[in-house]
Amino acid sequence: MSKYILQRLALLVPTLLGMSLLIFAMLRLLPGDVVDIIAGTDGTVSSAAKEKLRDSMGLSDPIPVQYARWIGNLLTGDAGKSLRSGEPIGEILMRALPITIELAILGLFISTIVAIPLGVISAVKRDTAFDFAARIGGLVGLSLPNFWVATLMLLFTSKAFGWTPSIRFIPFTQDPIGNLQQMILPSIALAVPLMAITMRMTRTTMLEVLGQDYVRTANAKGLAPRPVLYRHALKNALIPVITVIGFQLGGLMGSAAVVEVVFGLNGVGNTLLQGIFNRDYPLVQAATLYLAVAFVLINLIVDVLYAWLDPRIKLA
Amino acid sequence: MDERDNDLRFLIDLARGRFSRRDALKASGALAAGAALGGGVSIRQLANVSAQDAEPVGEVVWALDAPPPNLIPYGAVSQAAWNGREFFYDSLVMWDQDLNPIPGLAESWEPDESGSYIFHLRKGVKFHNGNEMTAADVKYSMDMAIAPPEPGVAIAVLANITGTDIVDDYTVKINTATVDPTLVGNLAWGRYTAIVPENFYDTSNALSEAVGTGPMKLVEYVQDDVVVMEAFPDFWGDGIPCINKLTLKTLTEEQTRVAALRSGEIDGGTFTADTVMTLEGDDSLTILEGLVSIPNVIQFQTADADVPWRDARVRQAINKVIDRELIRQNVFGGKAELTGAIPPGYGDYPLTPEKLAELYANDVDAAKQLMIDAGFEDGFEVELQAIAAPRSYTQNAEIVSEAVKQLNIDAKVVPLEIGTFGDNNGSGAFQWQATGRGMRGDPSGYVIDFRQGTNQNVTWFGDGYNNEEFNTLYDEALAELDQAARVPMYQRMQEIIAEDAANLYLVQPYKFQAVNNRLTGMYVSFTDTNQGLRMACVTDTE
Repeated sequence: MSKYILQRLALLVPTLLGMSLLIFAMLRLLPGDVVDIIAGTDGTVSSAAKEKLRDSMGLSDPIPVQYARWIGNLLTGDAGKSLRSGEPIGEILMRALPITIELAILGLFISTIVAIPLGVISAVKRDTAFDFAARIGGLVGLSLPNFWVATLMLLFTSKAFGWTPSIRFIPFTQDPIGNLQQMILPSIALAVPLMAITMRMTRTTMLEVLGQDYVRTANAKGLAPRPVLYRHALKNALIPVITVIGFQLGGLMGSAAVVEVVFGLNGVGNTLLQGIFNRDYPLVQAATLYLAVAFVLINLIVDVLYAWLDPRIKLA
Repeated sequence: MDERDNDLRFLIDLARGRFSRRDALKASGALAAGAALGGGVSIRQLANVSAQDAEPVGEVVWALDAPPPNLIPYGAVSQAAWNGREFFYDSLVMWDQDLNPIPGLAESWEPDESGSYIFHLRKGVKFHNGNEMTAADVKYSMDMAIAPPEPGVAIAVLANITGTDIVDDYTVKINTATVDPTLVGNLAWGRYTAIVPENFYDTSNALSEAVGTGPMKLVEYVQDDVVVMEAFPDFWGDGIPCINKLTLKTLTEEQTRVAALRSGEIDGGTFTADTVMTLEGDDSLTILEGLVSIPNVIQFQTADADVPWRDARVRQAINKVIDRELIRQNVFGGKAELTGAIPPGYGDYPLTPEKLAELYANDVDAAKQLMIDAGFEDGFEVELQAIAAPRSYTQNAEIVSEAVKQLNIDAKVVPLEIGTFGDNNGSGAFQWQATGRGMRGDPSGYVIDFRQGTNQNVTWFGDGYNNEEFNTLYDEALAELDQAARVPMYQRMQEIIAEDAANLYLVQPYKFQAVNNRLTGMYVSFTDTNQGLRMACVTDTE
């Protein structure tokens, strides 16, 4: 197992190197740079003055030189500074990270505690009104983009109750109740599509498992329905569900960006988006690399969890 | 204390929510008597009265639609940058709401015989760090303004300033290379000429700290999130600040601003015309509207050889088929005015609506004849780039694209994200663009691009457009210190631009802001800033 984990961690190096190249190149393909953002494009500033600023920011150097400089600094633990505010990227990300992580964990938690019971009941009560309602609900949840769900939630609560979550982040450590009040709506918005996927997956795998021989045997030898359902069927049905949740969690870190923007939360996603709009290269590069690392690590954890749940699976 | 003082005190208390029903009844009689004697006091006057015994009270949260990139006082051009720092700083001169220059940190000024200006500074002005402002601070600030430390960039409108001399502790002389009628206006604009303490850049992190003389001092700046300020008790102005705390929160999504406004999380923000219509029925909100300097324009690139629109007749033909009333009604719901190069609201300089209507009269037959004369009766294909957000620029482009079909011109509208659009604009990588112009400190700023040989003229027009009468007028107006004498010159220049159809100015839209009723004294500023918040108050102080 530990050999496998080490192998996977080693694979992280080429993955990140490839990612860094991709991010770096794609950012430079975008027209305009931070100098255009600072100096505007309205003729207020001469081209010579803009070029001077580009030179001193190192933006006029050949792209490979810029890339080598960035990677070199990164290896020494220096992610650079924001081209706009001069704030160290590390500090910006450390400020943004707790918001995104909390959002992702809450989103995952809400979707899981709702979706798995729904999926199980739907499978057990197959083709009943409940099953149809849950399936249709799942289909709707899958089809709704979360920016739309988030916006509707905000507009609804503001119109109906004259309330929206606080627009300034309240850390959990400072005020747990205030924090949860603030995070509950964005977490639900984030959870809705994931909830739908998990529910449908649970239902499908439960149906499959319930038709297996060992379940029939368990029933035949006189076990009560509940132990059969939970001890024999559900545990086995959950293996593919966990894979799906794991994959979704990686994506969740990214899709949180949309929800963060709608709720005015300054998490990694929102920071990344503003970085892109303002061509803040070091910020975008660092934030994207962070998301890539998170994605890879989460997948690794899912794989390990997978082996733990099903001893037949050998990691090698 | 006389009766008028009583009226003012009542109004101050009223504006700050410190009045009871009994007080109101008692005072209403006095107010009515005052009004009958012609002594009515407007909210604006109220904000300018001296309120020595009144402490700033209440908090206002205002939504910004784009994050301030940093707080540097010099050489940051973007609107978002100015929105983040406007309450910290003052300039030597200010504008009143009608763009008349009024004393700021300078009590008075006059040109000397060489065309340079002498400024007599206000005494006893305090910086947020407690130091008193003197001529040394002004010299340092002006030196920084004309050669901003990075990431600031040198601003073209200040290029004529050669330096600043200290005459005595409270007098400075700003030297210019040539006689400069634009100086006072550019100082009044204030955007690039903040006054900071001497050695500010050595003692502070200029990117994220602010020390000025303005009504608010910085408490906290978080990139892409908030700028938090509190009232500066030693502010030199009379009667302001009225509010104790001001938070600027970045909310880029308009619907988020709508929800936050309705729930009271924010007190106000800027909204599009479409969204404002959905807010109009809400009794707890007040809709503010006003002209701002954003003349919408179709811009031609004539530097490339062989493009059909280098021929003035082609441009004139296009001008004759664009129905600006259609744009006014369909894109802006009637909330826009016709505009020339200088937008309505900019003092006496804009062309009259009648003159504009005459210059923009539709005549499809004459337009077709012009295309035949120019040899382009079969039309041509062209790419019309437009700013994707706000949508109005793309909508302008769509209407223009539809209109020019009458001349067999196939204009393909390409909406572009602002970064890409801006890059193309700056480098001249476009054929036509649907865009808008911003605020300027002097009328010359609105027409400079048409003067042969100037910075953007070379990129945008090259040798494809050159009008000698315009060039001469432009130069003469820049040598004329009498502002009244400059007015007809700039009006004629605008006529030339419209007659030559060098660019096609369309309309000047109104800007909308919605505020909670608790916020009073706010107005839509022509300068496209939130400067009304400087004198705004709140009626409850929770």
